[in-house]
Amino acid sequence: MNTAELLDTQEGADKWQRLAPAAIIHFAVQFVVVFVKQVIQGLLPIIAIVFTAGENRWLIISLIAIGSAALLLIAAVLSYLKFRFRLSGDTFLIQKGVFKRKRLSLGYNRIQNVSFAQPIYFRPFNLIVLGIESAGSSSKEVNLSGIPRALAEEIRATVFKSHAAAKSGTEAADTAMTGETALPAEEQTIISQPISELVRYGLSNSGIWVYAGLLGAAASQLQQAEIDFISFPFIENLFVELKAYSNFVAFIVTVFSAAIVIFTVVIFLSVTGSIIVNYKYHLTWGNRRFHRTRGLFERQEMSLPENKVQSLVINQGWPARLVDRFHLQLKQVGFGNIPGQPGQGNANKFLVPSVTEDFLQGFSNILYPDFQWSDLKLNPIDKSFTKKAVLWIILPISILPTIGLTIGVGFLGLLPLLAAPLSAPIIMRVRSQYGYATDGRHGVFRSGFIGHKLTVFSFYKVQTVAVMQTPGQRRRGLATLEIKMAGSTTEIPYMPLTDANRWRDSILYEIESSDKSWM
Amino acid sequence: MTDTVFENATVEESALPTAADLSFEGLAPTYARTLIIEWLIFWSFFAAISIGINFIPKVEMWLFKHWWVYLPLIAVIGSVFIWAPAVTKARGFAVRERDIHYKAGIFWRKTVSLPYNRIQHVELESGPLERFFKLNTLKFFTAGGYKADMKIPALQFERASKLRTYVVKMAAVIEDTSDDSGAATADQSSINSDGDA
Repeated sequence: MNTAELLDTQEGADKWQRLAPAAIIHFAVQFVVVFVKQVIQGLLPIIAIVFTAGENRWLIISLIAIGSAALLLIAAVLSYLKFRFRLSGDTFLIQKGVFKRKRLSLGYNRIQNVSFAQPIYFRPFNLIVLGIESAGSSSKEVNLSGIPRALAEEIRATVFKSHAAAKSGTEAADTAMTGETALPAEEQTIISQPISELVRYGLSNSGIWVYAGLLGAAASQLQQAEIDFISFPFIENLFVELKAYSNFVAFIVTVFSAAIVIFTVVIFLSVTGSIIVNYKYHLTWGNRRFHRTRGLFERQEMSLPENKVQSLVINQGWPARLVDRFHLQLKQVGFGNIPGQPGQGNANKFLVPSVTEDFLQGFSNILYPDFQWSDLKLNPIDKSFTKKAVLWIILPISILPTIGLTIGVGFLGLLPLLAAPLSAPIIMRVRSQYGYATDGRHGVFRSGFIGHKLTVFSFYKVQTVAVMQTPGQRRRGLATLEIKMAGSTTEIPYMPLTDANRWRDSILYEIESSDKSWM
Repeated sequence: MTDTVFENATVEESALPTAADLSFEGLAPTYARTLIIEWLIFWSFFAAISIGINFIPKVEMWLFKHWWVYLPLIAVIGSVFIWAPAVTKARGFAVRERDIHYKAGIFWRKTVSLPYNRIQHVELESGPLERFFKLNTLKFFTAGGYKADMKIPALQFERASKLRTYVVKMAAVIEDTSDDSGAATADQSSINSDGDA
């Protein structure tokens, strides 16, 4: 398709348009993905019937295959035919739906962000999936799957231009306030991640432990299905010998070897996933926007305006500590925590994976130029945090099973009470990881256990602030501060009341005296 | 930056500039009554069930046949006459030129502060019981969460609409007028009429 034609005249944009025909592939892939995710489980019994159908088996299978392929093709072609979009003035119009027609109109000023993705099957045609995020609800996301890159870039430029025009006043004031000279139009590279760093990210991404749990659960399912893991003769012999030696040792060895297998698989999956998603990770900065490109099979491009960033989160979980790296996240306005609504997917999270300690303050300076938090000494929270957690949370919880067990098994039933003294060192560690500091205009807050998480934010981005006190805190002159930002809430527990009040007063002052846009 | 003198005079009772020493305005005294009635309605279901069990033939519930079993239930129900007035007393709000504060809690105390320029929209609500006592709940929403960030219950209608008008005027936010309750529609006119409240 000739892209010059599309961009030629303004009228070209102000007509109902179709996606490129290659979008049929995209719709087909989408259907398959949805099908695999949702329908296939229900179809398993049918498949089982087919496989036990005897002589006609191959006929039935091929009929089903041909039928579903035809259905898929028809559905994809219809979706393509029924999908039309139009750019009219400062509004975006979309018509879609085969059985149920849907009409969408979206003003440019309601568009939060525009993202590009290029799946592998669009690469030969140089087509783009243009994602449009609208303000507020995350469900109102629109995709233009399969438009030429040039058109996608034009749409993005138009949207950004209308944004800039809408608040040129405040924007100018912002630049004047930070005292920065206008940045050159070309983008400066902030970081490019080689494969080695992506491997590090895969190894130390805290999400991998979730997978480990899932895999463990899956493994136990397999055991229930009586699939014999130890059917290899040499393993079987080993196992029998172990069992002869001691049942207990055999059990321990089984558990450990299973753990090692799961661990290896999880790490392999996590590293592969990290490479696929973050392949050729490239982050640039220009015109007060971050711009990120990444992905092996699907190239994703996303830009994030500086003023959309609510806070900077610097994560170093314990696996990340082992590889001596930090993972950053630029938190955006997000309603991902609403129960029953699809949250912001991983694709929309703005992550900077696997960076070294030297990178942190420099990166933070882009967002918070006059906040040198790494030079600040973090204030600890009060020691009574530990006592309170042990005496008022762990102990009461352990008393309940103790009562039950003591009636049942006697003195041994007192064992759960040990939870309190045993948890004390852990809670002491948690307490020592808490820390907070402020320069009156920005805040930094740390929490964690073995690793830690550091949140850096500007006070004017805060939405509401609350000071809470339990009776014990009141006696000791302490308080818990709750800071709500758009999309995330931070609680600083057990800080001196004077500090909590000072934070609240500075935060309120910053919000009320600043007319900078928080989003 | 913290040393900067920040002028943000409290609107009515208080004259102190820090949010730590605000003097709060109380809620309507009738609020305690709505709490008591709500509580009694809620527990009367349990009471009805546990008493009713005795009248079902062939159900041998020896426990429910003893009068002392009902003591804790009576204690729980009766406690409302002690805590409802205390809760009412503990709750209150303070209005300043640029923010509004709401405190609650007898033992576990919480004070929420909400700057006007973070308000997304304001809602005025009144449930059946509240309507009976001619009370309203004022709800403030920011972008910080999906539910109301601040709820001020038990405001007489004039007080609620005055407060809302003031806050809306200070915030200059587009507010939600889609509320179909009679109170909200009536209030719509009052925004125009007593805009100088």
